[in-house]
Amino acid sequence: MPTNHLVICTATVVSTPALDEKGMYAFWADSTIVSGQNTDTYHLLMHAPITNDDKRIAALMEKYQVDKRFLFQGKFLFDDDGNPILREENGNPYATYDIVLNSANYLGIVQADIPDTFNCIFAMTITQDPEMRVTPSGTYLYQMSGVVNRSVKDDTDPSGWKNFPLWIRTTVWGEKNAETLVNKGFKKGMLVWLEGTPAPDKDKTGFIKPWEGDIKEKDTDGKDTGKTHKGWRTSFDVWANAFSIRMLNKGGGGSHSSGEFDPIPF
Amino acid sequence: MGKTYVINQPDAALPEQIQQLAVKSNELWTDYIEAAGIGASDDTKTELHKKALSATVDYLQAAFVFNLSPERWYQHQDAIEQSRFNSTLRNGG
Repeated sequence: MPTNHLVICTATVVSTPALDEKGMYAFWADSTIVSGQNTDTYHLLMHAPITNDDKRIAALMEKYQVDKRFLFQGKFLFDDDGNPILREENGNPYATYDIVLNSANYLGIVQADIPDTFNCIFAMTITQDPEMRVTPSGTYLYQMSGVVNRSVKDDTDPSGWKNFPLWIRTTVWGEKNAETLVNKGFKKGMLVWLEGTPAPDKDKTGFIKPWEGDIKEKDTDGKDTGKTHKGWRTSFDVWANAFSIRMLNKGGGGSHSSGEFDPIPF
Repeated sequence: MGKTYVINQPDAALPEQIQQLAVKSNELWTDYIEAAGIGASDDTKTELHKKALSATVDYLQAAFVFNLSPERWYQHQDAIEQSRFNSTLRNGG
């Protein structure tokens, strides 16, 4: 499934690399992020780009030892419905995230006493005009919503593609940051680079949330039929800095115009 | 920067040059993370953060990451890893 994002994070290895069900070498790693008084630990299954080569596999095993910390870079791996791969532990949902690393061997070891970081970069189409608000306590914030258009080739769709949008809600805190972004004039329809960290996960259900929404149905010509059906979608709340949002394209998101996506429905 | 961006472009091969951009991106993120770890000033951290982000955006734009499926991404990375691994062996690393 094509994606347009990148994940950069530090994490501690918690299991020895082993062959997974997809034939990739994979290992578990935990990344613990502290935001104010909130602490969230993300359980990540890292898929290393290694095939059947004994020397490389040996190097992988030697490098990724339990309790060592690394900087990782890769892409989220989603299921066929475009959602995070859900797992259970003792019968309870277990928030995990699969990441295909962009390299197995040249990422660095990170010192144990350095706080973890978890940064995600998206090419996102803005779906509503952003707004600056002031909370009752006088805190300024700038909010932007958009969608990362993830598509998969689908011969049954007239366009040849099937969309799996990942909805993004971004909050930037602080008066100076908010005013900086207002002055940049971001508007609905623009395509931006957005880099952010997961917002504190207050309900502890994970930072990428699958939810059931209305999916527009199209006719054989690719036009809306006016009908909808229920389907799974995914949303992601991030906190960003003023410099973390950059213009990519004023005209919209490439082959998919912003008009194809409704504003984020919550 | 200043490039034309194409969304949903057919999968493109990832040459070694693009991987060099990825390595550069990683190095700058490491600098930023390490600066945070040693208690660098907010200004220093922000500057390093900006540099890392710029390098990563350059990498993403060069790599046409838009349309690489995880499977294709995996294949590319595996081939590049093989090349890097062999090079490291030749160089005695």
